[in-house]
Amino acid sequence: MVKYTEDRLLELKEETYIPQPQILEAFNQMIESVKEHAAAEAEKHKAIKWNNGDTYIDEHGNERPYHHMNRRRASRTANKPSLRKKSVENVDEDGWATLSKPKRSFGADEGLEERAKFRESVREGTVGGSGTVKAKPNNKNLGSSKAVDPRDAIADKHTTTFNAFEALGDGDDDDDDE
Amino acid sequence: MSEELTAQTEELSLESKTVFDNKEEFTAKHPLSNRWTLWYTKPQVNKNENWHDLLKPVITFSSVEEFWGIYNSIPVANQLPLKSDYHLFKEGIRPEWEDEQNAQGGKWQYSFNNKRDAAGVINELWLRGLLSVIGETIEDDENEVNGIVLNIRKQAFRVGIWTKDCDVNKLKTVGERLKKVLQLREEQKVEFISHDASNKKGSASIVL
Repeated sequence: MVKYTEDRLLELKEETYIPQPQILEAFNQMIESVKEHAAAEAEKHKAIKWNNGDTYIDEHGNERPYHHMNRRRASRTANKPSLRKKSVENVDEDGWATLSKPKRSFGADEGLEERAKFRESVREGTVGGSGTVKAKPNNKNLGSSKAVDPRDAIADKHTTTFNAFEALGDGDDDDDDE
Repeated sequence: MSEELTAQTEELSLESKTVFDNKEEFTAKHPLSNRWTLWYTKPQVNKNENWHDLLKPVITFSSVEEFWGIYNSIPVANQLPLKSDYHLFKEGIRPEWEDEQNAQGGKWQYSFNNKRDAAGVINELWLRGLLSVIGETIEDDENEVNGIVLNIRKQAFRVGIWTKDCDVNKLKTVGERLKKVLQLREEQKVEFISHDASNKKGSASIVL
């Protein structure tokens, strides 16, 4: 079997012979037509997607579509950043790689010391006097507008309010009676 | 337009004679061990065209001089339209799974998924692939390789070496050499998939 290394073949690069040039010419023509067809299709696709055919003539006399005036907010179309934290690869001495997921911010080690201190203080009763922590919920941040404290929930009480229409009506009746 | 294209491609035939049929015109100084046929898959421009219509033999050659003559006369890899394929196969083997020479085999392949980066080097890498196949340096004496394929896709350039069968011992050399030819780094893996398993997702049987 005759073998040629890459270097040997590259040395022979200048020694060319074109067999059946008419076939290669037809082949090149075919590829050109495919490219033209693809370009035309791309153009057609562009037009379908972005232009409804409604155009105006600009100050330079060019016909322009209106689509630039109907731009959507970037937040509707732009790619949103991935906020997902990626796994961290730890390679040990033996070359084994272990993938570990990063801890979520509220479970991370950062505030560990402060958290322990706070828990200790709660246990000792330094916070909230009798060992309990009194926390008042903030209503404005709650989804429901109902009062949290049941004492605040006042039953619908009867209120007497002045109704001008009623008052007028009464007056008319009185007049009729007279 | 598609009818014109079909008519043009019909003119491209394997039946035409090569230079060896007329020695007065040309004497090959550097004959190759095998005769090779260049095939082209045309992107579909008409919904009536099926795979058989799109896959066309372009030309057959059997010498180094002819190879360079042809290579210099056709579009380079990054100038081909999307959904095109180049196939260079030993004469008589169609670049299809169904061909009996391919039926028991598979392919070593690598996808250059970052097209922007690969666009600058794919021409050189495809040429290196062609040279390793026609020069028969892609393997020792296993005679496993049937051909080489280049796919031009929207997301990637893909180069594959098609083999006659799936014998792991014989295939390893081919896979390792393909990796060298494509100048891949250690972590860039080439994978072998048998044609039988190609339809099943995630069915790579060997990875190098």
